[in-house]
Amino acid sequence: MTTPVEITWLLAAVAKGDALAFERLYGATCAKLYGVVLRILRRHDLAAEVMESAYLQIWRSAGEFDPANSAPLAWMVAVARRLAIDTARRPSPPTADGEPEVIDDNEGPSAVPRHQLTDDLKRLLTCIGRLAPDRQRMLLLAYFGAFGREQLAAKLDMPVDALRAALRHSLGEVEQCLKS
Amino acid sequence: MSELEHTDALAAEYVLGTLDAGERAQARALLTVDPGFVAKVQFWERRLGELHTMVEPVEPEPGLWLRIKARMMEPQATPVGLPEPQNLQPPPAALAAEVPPGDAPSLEEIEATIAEAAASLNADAAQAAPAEASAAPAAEAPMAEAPPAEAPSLDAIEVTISETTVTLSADAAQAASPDAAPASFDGTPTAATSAEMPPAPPAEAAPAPGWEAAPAAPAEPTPAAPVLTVTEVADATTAAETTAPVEAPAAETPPAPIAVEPVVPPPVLPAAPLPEAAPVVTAEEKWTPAVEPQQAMTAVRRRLRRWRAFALLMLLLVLAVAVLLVAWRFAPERVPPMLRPLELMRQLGVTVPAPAPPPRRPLPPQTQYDE
Repeated sequence: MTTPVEITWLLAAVAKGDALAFERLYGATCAKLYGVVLRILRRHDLAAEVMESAYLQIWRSAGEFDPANSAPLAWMVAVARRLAIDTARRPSPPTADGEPEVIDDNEGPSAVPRHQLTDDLKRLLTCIGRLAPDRQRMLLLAYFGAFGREQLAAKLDMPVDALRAALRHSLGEVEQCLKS
Repeated sequence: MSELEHTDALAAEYVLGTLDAGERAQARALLTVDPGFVAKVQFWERRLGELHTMVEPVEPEPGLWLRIKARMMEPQATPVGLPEPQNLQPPPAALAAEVPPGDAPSLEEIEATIAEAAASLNADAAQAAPAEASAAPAAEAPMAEAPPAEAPSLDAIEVTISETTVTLSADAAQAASPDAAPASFDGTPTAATSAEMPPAPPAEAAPAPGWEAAPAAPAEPTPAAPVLTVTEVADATTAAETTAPVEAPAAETPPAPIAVEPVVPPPVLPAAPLPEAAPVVTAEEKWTPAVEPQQAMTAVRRRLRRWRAFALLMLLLVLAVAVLLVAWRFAPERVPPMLRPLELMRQLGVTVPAPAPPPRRPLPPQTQYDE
């Protein structure tokens, strides 16, 4: 397990164009990013495509990472998630061989051992924990699956409008809690 | 007030991932022009980004690195992002058609973690919540009980969840929810103010609450932003049933076969399809992947590198002197003649006033205790 400090260091080296550091960075983080992306896209071909784009973007914009602003892995995950969600919203993603390889990821998010709970994560979970249980579930489903509102509404069996209002309200509460 | 303003909500939902293609395009446009919006997005990416800890890592196929490596040296002109559609079409069938069966157990575990965190770290907040709760007693019932539709059909998987986790989640949820639930709905009346967000086509009737045909459902093109009124919210929420959130089964997820289907990684394609316009890169270009916005940065870095080289040189010098001193002190006989102190002084033009002292004879073994 590579520590955040090491990843920050690797990112700094990558920002200078260090290809070797980039390879190490990839080795240290690809499984995590692939897990995130695969969970959103649930197809290996699309996930691999997004991973390619994400790592190329990280390679080119590692200099934009600011350790003061965010944790290194969270930054990388954010890059990958953006691309993954954009891909998920594409009208009809092309398949490699016409046969979509649908994945079911039984290995989804799981509880974290206590020692891995960072302070930031604790804080976030505390804030999410103040929401009603169904809203916690809604928020987590939305984040991990990156479902569109319609999909999420269907999954939760509630009207889209109500979902949107609930989402916004929940996000507002969480933000307020995080900032307090 | 905890309701989010328009752009706040856009930023938060952009990061959360619930925007549709059109709204995402809008958000991306804002990202390029509005620093305030960028800051909001960064806030959420930083905060929600912590959740990645809970995602199980999955090893990608080995060929992926080769493909990335092959594309690393492309000039930056090649767009990094994927082509972005602007139209509002339904999500791909593959996405719509299946529900990840893994959701329920894992979410439960997360909820357990959350509840635990909330319960253990936040006793003070729990005290504060009941006060809010009394403010909105009428609103507490409805939304809180929407059944989590993706829970079931997971019998096989659920077996594998450790009982401890389940009981933990139950206990912790009980501990955490009484205070959280009532307080959660007090913002409803404000929903209308923030609901007119996207440049949306006229509102379409919201899907019926009993919308069971999940796989097909997302395929109907639902305009993104129906204007929401308070009464609609009230209607919608009161329509929801009061069932326990976690264990309520529904017939939404696909049956077991999918759940046992092995995951087959795609064939390895080493150094496979480069994108269309990938011109040959010269060796000089290779190490300057960054172009115009980072020119200042590269200048700074070059200067930094020069200073670092200088510092390294100085360090080496100091080390050399230190080594010499140590050698003089502890093994004077092994120092090469031209590096002996007297020789050096002579070379430097310092005349030694006194005749050179007799050469130090090698120390007998005992003398180390004399000093």
